[in-house]
Parts: sequence; C-alpha cells; structure tokens
Amino acid sequence: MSRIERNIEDLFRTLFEQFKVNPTQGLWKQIQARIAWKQFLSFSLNSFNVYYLAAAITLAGAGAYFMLPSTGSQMISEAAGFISAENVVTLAEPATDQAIVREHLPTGEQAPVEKVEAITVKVADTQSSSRTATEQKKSEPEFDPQKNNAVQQKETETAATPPEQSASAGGETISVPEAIKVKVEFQANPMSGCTPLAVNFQSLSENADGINWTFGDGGNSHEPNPSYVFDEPGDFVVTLKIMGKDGGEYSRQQTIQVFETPKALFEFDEDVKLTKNQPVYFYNYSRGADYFEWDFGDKQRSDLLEPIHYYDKAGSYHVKLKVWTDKQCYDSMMIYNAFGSQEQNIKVPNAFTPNLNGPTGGYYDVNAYDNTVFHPVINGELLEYQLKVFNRKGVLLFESKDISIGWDGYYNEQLLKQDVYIWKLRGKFNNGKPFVESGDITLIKQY
Amino acid sequence: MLDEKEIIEGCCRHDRRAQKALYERYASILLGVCIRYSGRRDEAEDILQDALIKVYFNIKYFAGKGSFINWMKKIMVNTAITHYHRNLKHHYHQDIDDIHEMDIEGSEYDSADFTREELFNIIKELPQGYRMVFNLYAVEGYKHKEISDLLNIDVNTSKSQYSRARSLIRKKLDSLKKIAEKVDEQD
Repeated sequence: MSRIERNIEDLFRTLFEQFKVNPTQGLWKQIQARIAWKQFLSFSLNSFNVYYLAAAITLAGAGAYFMLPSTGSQMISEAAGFISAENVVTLAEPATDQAIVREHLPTGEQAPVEKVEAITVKVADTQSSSRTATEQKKSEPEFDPQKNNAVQQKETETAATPPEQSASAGGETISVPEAIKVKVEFQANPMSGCTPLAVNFQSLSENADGINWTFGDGGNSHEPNPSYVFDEPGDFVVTLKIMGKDGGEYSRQQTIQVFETPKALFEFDEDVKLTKNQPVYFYNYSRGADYFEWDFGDKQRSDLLEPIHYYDKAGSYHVKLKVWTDKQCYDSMMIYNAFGSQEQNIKVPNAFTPNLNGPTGGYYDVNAYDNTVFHPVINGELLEYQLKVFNRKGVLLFESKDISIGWDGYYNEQLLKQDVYIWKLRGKFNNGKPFVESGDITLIKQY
Repeated sequence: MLDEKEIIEGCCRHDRRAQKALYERYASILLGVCIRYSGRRDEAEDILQDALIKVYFNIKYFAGKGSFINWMKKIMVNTAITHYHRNLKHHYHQDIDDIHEMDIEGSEYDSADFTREELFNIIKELPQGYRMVFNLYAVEGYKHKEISDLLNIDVNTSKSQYSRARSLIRKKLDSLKKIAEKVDEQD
C-alpha cells in the first residue's frame, strides 16, 4: 500500500464523515405516511389505534350498505359477523389492548342496533320480503365462520411480519436475554509472531450453533478449530461470531500481532582476485531488517550494514548474512564457495556475427576479437564437453564435443537468418564437478 | 429538543414526536450517505425513505451497543446496496474498455484542498459499480471479501474496480488541484 492510496481513502473518509445533504421539503410527510400505513398493516400493540377502528367500521358499514338491497336481516348477521371478527382479533392481542377495545366497542355495537330497529319497521311493511329474509338467515351461519377464519388468517399473517422485518434490519447484532447459558470464548496460539504466521485457533464456546471466524485480513472460516496463516504484517482483529442456541448472536475479539519478517539479500564483487590488502565490497540488499551479522567464512565477523572485508588468502569461503528485527524476526542468506569458482568457470556470450563469406568450420582463435564463431569461454580443465545449438523449432543445427570447435552460424553450408538460437552446454571439470547450462544466442548479420 | 436516548426510547414506543425528532436531527447526514451511493438526489431520497422505515420499525433491536448514527448509517448502506441490485439493469452501463486510465504516482492530497462538494461531484460521476466499491472500501472501510459478498461479485472484481475507481479519482483530484493553482496564479 503506497502512501498515496491511503491518502485518498483518508481524504474521503474524513470529509464524508460529516457530509450532509438537506432533504427536500415534504420528504418527512411521505415518510410519516408510510410509517402510519405500515403501522396500520403490522397491527401491533401500539398501532391499534383510531385508524384501524375507523377502517373496520367503514368496512362493516360498507358491507352493510351493499347487503341492504337484498334483505335487512342478512345485514344484521353480517354486522354481527364483523363484530365477532373484531372479538377474535382482540383475543389475539395482549391483555392491555383489550382495555382500548372495550372503550370503542360499544360504538360498533350501537350502530347495528339502530339499523336493526329500522329494519324491523321495514319488515312490518312488506311481508313477502321477510320470508326470503328468514330463508337467507338460515344459510347465513354457514357463511360466517369462513369469514371469521378469513379475518383471523389475515391477522396471523400480519402478526407474522414484524420478525421478518427484523431479519432485514441489517447486520446489527441483536442481543436477546438468554435462558440457555451461551459462552463465547476462544484461544489462539501463538498470539504474535513473524510472517508468515500460522496460528491455531480453538473455540471454547458453549451452546453454539453456527460458528464464524473472521481473521481481520479478509479471510474467514466456519470450522470450530481452524488454523490460519497470516501472510501480511499488521495487527489483525480476529472475531469469533457464534449463533447461540438461544437464537442470539455473540462475538468475541482478540488481536493477533504479525510482525514483518525481513529478507536477507547480498552480493559481492565476484571478479576480484583475492589477495592480501585487496578490499572486497559486500552489497546489502536486505529488506525490513534492523540488525545485521556477517560471517565472512574466515572466522571474521561484522555487524555493519555494508562491510568491506580483506581476506588473507585466496580460496573459497562460505559467506553468511543474518538479519533480524526488533521483534526477533530473522532471515539469513549464505553463499557457498564464494570466490571458489574463480579457478574454474564458464562464460557464454549472447551474440555473434558469422563470417558472411562461407562456413569456416568453427575453428577459432581464443585471442581473436572478431566474434565470428560462437563458443563458450572456459576457465579450467575439462574432462567432458558437449555443445548443442537449436533453432526455434527445435531442430539440432550444430553439435560439438571439441572445445576448440565452435559454431560458425552455418547449417548445411547455408548461412542461417538473423535470429535467436538456443544452446545447451554440458560437461565436467577435472575436479569432477559437472555442469549443465543452457541459454540463447543471437545471430547478427554484420555487413 | 430531545437527546439521542430519548429519541431512541420514544421511537421504540412509536412516539410521533420522537420519530420526527430523529428525522430532523439525522436526515441530512443520512441523506449524505445515501447520495454517495446513488449519486442522484431523487434516488437517494427513495433510499433514505426505505431505510428510515427500517430504522423506525427495527429500532428496538438496536441494543445500544456502538454508536447509533453508525448503526443507522449501516442500514443506509445496506438499503443502498439493495437498491443497487434492484436497479442494476436500468443503469447506464459503461464498458471497462472505454475508460482510459492513467495511474500516475505523485501528489499527496490534503483535506484542506478540497471541499465535500467537490469530492461528492467526483463520486457522483463515477460509474455505478465503481462508486459502490469505492464507497464501501474507502469510506465505510469494508474489506474486499465483504464487498464481494455484499455486491455478489468476485473478490478480484472488487479489487480491480476499486483500483480503477481510485485512479479515476486521482486523475480528477489532480485536475481540480491544477485548476485551483491556476486560479491562485491569476490572483
């Protein structure tokens, strides 16, 4: 993470912390209306108010109005049906609510009673219609329970909605007073260390159903006892979240400290001939380290960043660099047989310019600088030697087991095109040390 | 004027006065959150409405742990994400290849150099997906893993969208800075 990235984040975070936009006028009215409507639908303890009662009465009234043309007595039972529906509703409500209902109920009862009176008058007027009225009255009780059921169903449905809303309320922890003792606890081993840090977590929770670990660096797990490797340095807040058997959500947090592990890296002048009074420069490319310890392989040590060392005599030495930090995170690097390859080594060029006048047979003069033949430069005595050259398609173009013969850039008497070719070199030095190397060589036509 | 505790308790009782007090006190800052996600005022107010309804009907689940305003902000963010999913097909889609990005490392930004409105205008002009990821990651501090779960996208999509959003923003911040410097020179 560069400093710039963090700056953009900080910039936006600080400025948007108090970013205010004034809502348009009338938004509150809309919200208020929606609250009222939703409260009306959800029909909770507090929302049983005058609105609902008004709606119930209107509905009853409307029902009564539509039934009126057919007969009067049907309407009586209709109205009675609604009142009984009202009763069912109030029964489902907690006891406190009944007090409110009782206050209002009489008005509901009164209205139909008045209508009953009016209807009896009507009945007296027309005999014929009263007969059909009694017939329909008989069939009415079969209707009523259904209606009541329907109302009841509606009630149970609306009553079921509030828990759903709570589920959609967003990722907040909801604590519920528990009957079951739920314990959330975990231990981590180790609590701190160097990258990459493998930590074993153990959940000591009790009465947990669901279990969820978040490790603070984006990783998570559902195992009860996970092992987790922190690759990056930093303080990571590990959170254990459990679903208790009582339905509540519990969490516990602990911080794991992960320290940066340094990286040891160094180079030195390989080309110096080791003699007395010849300084050897060591270049330190280590990262993240606070302390250094050099071991030059000749029983001499140094704790400098980039030491200059004088070897007493030529030879091969094991040079070792150990680095560590304040937090005791360390790394080391060792070069075996430093300067040892000075006597026997191979160097291979990466380009050559063939003789354009015709194949030369590959003989070359070691001291010539015309660079018309491709050949490795060997320091040391060889027991075995083999050089192969291929083109891009893998066709073997040249092979030699004689160090004095290199490749002249020709294949079947034809000069090859300017391109990159692949070489493979294998052999053995006279000290028994084998070598296998490969690489590429560019053929350049120089006119 | 009611204090925060009274407002919460009042809203639990569905007290009108408390509900209104909550609205008057927090609506502007909550709308600020919504508009960051939506970029458009009308849509942001829709989000605010939906989210406030959730706040009013679920306030009893706010256990008093942590800050009330952050709890509400979280609900705003979640609601904004729901809206984002719902309206995904309606939004103008900008192809990733059309965006010319230039990621130049360089200047640092001081919060004194920019106003909230300038930053909001930058956020507003971001493509929808970038805006969601940038808001969630940079401002709200979500992790890419969490964002990928919330928005139903791959973790790497979240990361790449964030870095593209950041480079776009950086470009715009730099141009704003240049304009400001020019104005300074003229004075």
